[in-house]
Amino acid sequence: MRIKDGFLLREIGDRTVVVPVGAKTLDFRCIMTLNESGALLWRSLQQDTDQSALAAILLAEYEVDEAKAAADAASFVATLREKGLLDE
Amino acid sequence: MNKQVEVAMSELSELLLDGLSRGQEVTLPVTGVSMLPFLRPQRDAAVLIAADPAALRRGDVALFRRDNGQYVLHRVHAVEETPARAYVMLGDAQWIGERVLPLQVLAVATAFEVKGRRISTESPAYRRRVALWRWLLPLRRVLLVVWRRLPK
Repeated sequence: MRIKDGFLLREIGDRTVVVPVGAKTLDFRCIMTLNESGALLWRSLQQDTDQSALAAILLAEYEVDEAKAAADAASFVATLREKGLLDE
Repeated sequence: MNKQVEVAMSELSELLLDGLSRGQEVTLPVTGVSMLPFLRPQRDAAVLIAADPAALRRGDVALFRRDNGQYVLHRVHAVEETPARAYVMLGDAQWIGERVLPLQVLAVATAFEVKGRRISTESPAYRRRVALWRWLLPLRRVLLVVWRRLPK
């Protein structure tokens, strides 16, 4: 799976905002902001990857146990899937 | 993990100004109650485009920046016929205007999304409602009190 094309990450203050590029309308109701780990996973998903690889990234970067990393990766992927942002 | 946070307008203003300057349409959710009964927070949104700040017309809804940096979406109540061509901006739920200079104006609304339906600001029915609401200004205070008590 990977993130669909057409989005750009922008740093605004200490947040990362997902901005649709080239869209005729910039809809502020649909703008998603990511925290640090969310942005990390988003960047990984710009190349084809899978959920276990994402969990491994969280495990490597943060002080979390395997169960927590897996659960966080799963919930992130679920959110993206729900918003229709993934190509699978 | 991926927190979706309510982001203050001021933090996203960079994004907003960028979009407008690229000619993008920007849809902003309505916050605050100053545009009732036309626009309701949480439910409605305004579709904005970059505007010629010197060309607003009476009845237009425009986004402007206050000197304190606050972004406000209110309606043009009157246009000053002076060289400065300042505007008297007035929320639909307000009766005391605010003088705004063209250089404070960022965008103008071309449409609204009200209860999920898109209403063009050029629609004659909408324009009539705006004109009527302006004409009723002397009664606005009373009408708003009554309106707030109506069952929704």
